[in-house]
Amino acid sequence: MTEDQPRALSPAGVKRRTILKGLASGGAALAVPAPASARANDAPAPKSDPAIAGTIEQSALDSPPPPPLTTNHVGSDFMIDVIKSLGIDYVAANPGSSFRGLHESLVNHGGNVKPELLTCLHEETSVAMAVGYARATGKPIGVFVHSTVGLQHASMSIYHAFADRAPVLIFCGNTLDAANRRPYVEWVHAAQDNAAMVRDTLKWDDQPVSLTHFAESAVRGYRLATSAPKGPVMITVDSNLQEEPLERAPALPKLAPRTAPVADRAALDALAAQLLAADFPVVLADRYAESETAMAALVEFAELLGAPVVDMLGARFNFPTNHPLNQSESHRQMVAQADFVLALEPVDLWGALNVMSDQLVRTTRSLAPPGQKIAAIGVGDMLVHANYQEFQRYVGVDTWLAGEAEATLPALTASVRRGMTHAHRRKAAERAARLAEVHAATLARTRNAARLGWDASPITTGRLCSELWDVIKEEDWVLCGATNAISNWPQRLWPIDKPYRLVRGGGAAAIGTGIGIAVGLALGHRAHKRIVVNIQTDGDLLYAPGALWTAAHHGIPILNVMHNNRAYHQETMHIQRMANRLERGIDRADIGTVIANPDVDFASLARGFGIWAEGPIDQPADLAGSLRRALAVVKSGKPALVDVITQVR
Amino acid sequence: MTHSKLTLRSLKLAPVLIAAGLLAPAGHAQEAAPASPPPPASAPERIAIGATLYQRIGCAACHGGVGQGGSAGPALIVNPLPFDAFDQQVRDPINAMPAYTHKVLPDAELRAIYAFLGTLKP
Repeated sequence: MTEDQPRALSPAGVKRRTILKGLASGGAALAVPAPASARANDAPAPKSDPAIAGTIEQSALDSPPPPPLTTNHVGSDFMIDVIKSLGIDYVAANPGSSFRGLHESLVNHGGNVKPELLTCLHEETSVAMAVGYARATGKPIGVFVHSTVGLQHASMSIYHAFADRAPVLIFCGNTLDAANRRPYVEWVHAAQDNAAMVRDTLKWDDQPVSLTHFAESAVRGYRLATSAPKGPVMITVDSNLQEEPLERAPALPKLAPRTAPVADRAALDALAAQLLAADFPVVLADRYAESETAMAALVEFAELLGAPVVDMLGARFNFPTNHPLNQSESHRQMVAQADFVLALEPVDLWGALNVMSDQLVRTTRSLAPPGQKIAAIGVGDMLVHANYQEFQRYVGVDTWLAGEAEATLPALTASVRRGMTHAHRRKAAERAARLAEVHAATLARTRNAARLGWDASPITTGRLCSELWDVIKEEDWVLCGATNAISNWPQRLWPIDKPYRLVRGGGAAAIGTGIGIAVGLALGHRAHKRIVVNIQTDGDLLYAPGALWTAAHHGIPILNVMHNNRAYHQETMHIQRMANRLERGIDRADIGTVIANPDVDFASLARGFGIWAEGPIDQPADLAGSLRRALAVVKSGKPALVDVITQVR
Repeated sequence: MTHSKLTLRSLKLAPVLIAAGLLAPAGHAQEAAPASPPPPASAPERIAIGATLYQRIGCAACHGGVGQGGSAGPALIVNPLPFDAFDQQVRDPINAMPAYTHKVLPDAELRAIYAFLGTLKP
């Protein structure tokens, strides 16, 4: 079958057919008698009686029959076939009438299998789950979003997906034909251009006007979403197109795999020569590791050069924390010593190379020594929009190699290896030995620091992470959530040596998406029976606690450990800063920033969503036992939550 | 000891501060010279006031409830600074720490916080 030929529907449990009986094409369809299964009062038409010819009854017989009330297939059946052809595992959705056709087709025509519908209680969670799933598997899932109001709910998570370069495939309902909208609600839930409100945060969008158009745009959108630089894509799906009877299913477009963009070979050779000539080359890795092979490739590269790696940890986990060349804790010292910096998929390169003081008069200071050279490999600036400023401050690097860093690094490693002399190897080994000492000393200091306030109540975040480590260290675990809000203890303390183990925020740095991302991540790891631990802040959970219900409803095992400091603590510190600056009211920074009086009982909240929970736990001695009981629940395949009352950071 | 102005925070703490001898009773600030200075705070009183202030004016927000430190501020219970250096850092920070001027944090209160920190053990 070629792409231009019509094709049969291929539903699970639904007959394949190329031409659906009982329906004629186009507008004539309404004049065709309804199928036998149509309306219950569809009695046979009365026989014509010559004696009453010309009467009212006869006129009625001459008028068109009432339109059919049922049909066998509609446009959205075909749309689900298209989505199935993309190998999408799940569709996350909060129900909305503008995509009711798609919804029904998914659960009946599609059999609710691959994709399976995930019931979400907020569109912010729907998109966030897609981000989390993509981080776990590298694959996008679909999201159905209701026109206008649903999309508005989803908008922040879409921005997060964009800022995190996460592949997400969004299908947003709409009713384009004004003459065919039901009164009131369908008007307020319709838009001339739905995507307009989120277009600045999408990689691409389209609003198809035919099924063929839909198929091509969905496949194009999938390819764009999953190609570097990745990002969210939205297809607006007209409700009439969904619900119109389907006569003939168009062909499914092919989805051709695409190779990753690799930087120019000659430029790589030149870069390798610069790296070998440097006295102290430093690698800054940011949005680098997209696949499970990326970390091993970076280890090989760093060991070859004896170069320190600073894992920016803004968006990806790139380098084992227990590797002696991991110098993330000594980021500023490394940059200050570097005569050559290689940035891999930099996100905030300016922030990595400079310091800005948040005082009344903001001052900046460069960390770089005079003469420092900077090279970057990445695709970040290939997806830049004008409005939202997530692209960060401009840095005039000396060399920018356009290409996906992960796909490019093996070639750079080979080039460096070819150029290495005995002297280069000796210099690399000496550097590595010095850096190993720095790494060991830093780790020793960090371990001591984590024990400060060991018996304090509320529980210190250092103690929390130490107790948590003891509970999960023998498991195949994954850590996600707000590790930055607990002083980054896990990545500073734990030996994290597999690329999937650590998922941090990045993205839009907003609260409200954390719990949804965590549940989506746990869903992605469920097949591997990994223990996904989510460090969950109180403020984030209160935005969209319904994600807990989704975890319970779909049997998604996840261990939620609350970092419950009863505050939007970051904001407390900001208000404190303003108050100090103005020399007034320095003891009122808590007004409007704390979540206390009454204290939120997160264990009760979780239990209300059908989740096993314990807490609040504010005594350190009670923590380990609770975490072990929660782990047992998670290992049984269910979600759990432990509410820990913690120090603020 | 200077008390050129009473801040709102100081007013809230006034009863304890007066009791501890860290603050003159209301009205004394306007007088040319008190008849007799308030008695000095005892060490336990000074520490208790310091503990209250430490939580109340934002020290704990960055340095932790027991001075253990964190990503937003260093630990204060390891290698503590001498008072002069502590005072200089609080008044004119060399990093991103917000400045606590004499206007909002009189010397006596800063000394009380310092006294409290001295009681914390690593």
